[in-house]
Amino acid sequence: MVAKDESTRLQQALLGLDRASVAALVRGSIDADTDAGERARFVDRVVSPALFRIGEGWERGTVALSQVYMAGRILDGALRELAEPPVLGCDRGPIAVGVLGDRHTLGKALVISVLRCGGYEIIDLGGGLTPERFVQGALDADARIVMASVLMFNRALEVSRVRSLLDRGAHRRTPLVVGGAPFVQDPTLADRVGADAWGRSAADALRIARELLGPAT
Amino acid sequence: MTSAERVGLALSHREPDRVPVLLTVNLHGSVELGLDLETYFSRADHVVQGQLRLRRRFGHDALLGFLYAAVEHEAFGGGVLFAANGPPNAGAPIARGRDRVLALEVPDIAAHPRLQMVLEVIERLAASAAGEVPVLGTVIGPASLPVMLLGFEPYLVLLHEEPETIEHLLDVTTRFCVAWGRAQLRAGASALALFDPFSSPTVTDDPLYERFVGPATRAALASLGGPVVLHLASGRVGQRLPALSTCGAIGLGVSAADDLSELEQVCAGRQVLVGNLNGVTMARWTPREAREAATRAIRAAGPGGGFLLSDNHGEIPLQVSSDVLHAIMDTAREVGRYPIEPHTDA
Repeated sequence: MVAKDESTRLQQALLGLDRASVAALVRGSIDADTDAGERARFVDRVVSPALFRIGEGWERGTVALSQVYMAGRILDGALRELAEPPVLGCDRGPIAVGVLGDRHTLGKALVISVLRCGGYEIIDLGGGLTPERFVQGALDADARIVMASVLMFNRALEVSRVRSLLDRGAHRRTPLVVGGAPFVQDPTLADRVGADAWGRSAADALRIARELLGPAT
Repeated sequence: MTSAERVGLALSHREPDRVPVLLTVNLHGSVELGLDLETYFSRADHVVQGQLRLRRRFGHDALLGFLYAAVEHEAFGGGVLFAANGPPNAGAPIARGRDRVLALEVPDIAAHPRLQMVLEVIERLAASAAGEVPVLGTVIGPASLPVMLLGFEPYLVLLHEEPETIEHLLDVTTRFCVAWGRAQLRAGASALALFDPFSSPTVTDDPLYERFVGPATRAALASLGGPVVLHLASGRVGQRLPALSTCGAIGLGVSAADDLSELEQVCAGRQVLVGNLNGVTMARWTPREAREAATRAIRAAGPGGGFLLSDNHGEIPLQVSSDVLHAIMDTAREVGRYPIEPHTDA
């Protein structure tokens, strides 16, 4: 149960914005020489449970968006300090993440941070994208999953166009995952616009990636 | 009873003839006039005509002197991005980096054409309403406006890492908020909505709220000099109710995720509740579902006055149909007629 304790300590250090403790926890388990398998086990035992619980706190209203963002940033920073970030899912292809329509990029930043901490390779498509540019970026990257972050309701409706463009352009069915305020406020919306899954929080993005691709190893 | 009398009684925590309705249809005027949104918002005349036509159509209880939130970003020199089917959005942040934040100055309201256009809209709506219908002005909370000016992530980082830069930033946005709100009140706005998602625990944790957001918001509220509803723009009130209920706002615009009955128990007689119909699900409601949702809200928060039926975000999506808006109004006229039977689970 040492792993559970480590995970809880990481969660508390992240929510307390305690950079030094986060860095010490990470350095205590992995360093630049740690092999991919050990990194994957660290992510699985320590990082993912901490991020999931922070995500659950956001869903319950006990954790604020500001904490979620800073937690992701601090953890991302601690992992990046170990020379190369522990990208573990390369063999499964990247996950493409972008924002439809506007420049509200916080949700995308949260998702990228959490997925990267979870060991997945990410292609950041950017913000302010039309469905056409969004899908072209995902196809160019040969993304295995496409994740669209949306803040405005009218942009959520544009996911339908993303779905049809993806289906037309990809040589295989590419899972389309959505997240953002409109989908939280109306849990039926994701299905109606043709998404395969939706995330209530950034931690959900990690859960969904694992379901679709398996753990990063 | 006029809408002004109805809203006035509700704000005084007394029972008017029926629950007042604040339909935040700032976008729907473009449909009334058959104009795209960019054209619609290019002239005060369009917005005035749109608001008056909507009021004739639905009979709601306030006219909106509100164009779109990014007006304030434009005032600071930022751009705006129009969309065909939704609200205009702020363009690229104009204050990336500490030096640009420290160089920010309070915009000159008199010199800015878009702000002057908003004031013209308010003046003309107030003249048309002749005291019978309230005209609502809008300002963005001083701790929320920097999301547009800096971008969300850089702003959050600055809040955690550069308190001195933040103090300058919030000083500028607070002074602008007060000047802009007071200008709208002088132009004829009956009350203001202070849109402030950063006051919600959905967005900020307690240390950030207590150190930066709360003080800036309370300072603005103390200086605006008119009745102000603090609107959390879909953010929860949640556990921050004690702080929000004493922040100086006469009312709270609350989230669909908040329990109106619970809030009403604390706020009754002290602070008006505005809300909390889900503005996103509203776009797919049938008139019957609209009636059911409005009935639940009215029964939860209507008894005794102190309640304005509205959506939870402060801007009803363009995709919400006239049938649904009519159903909300009809419910207010029928179920919302005082005295209102309190909601019971039995």
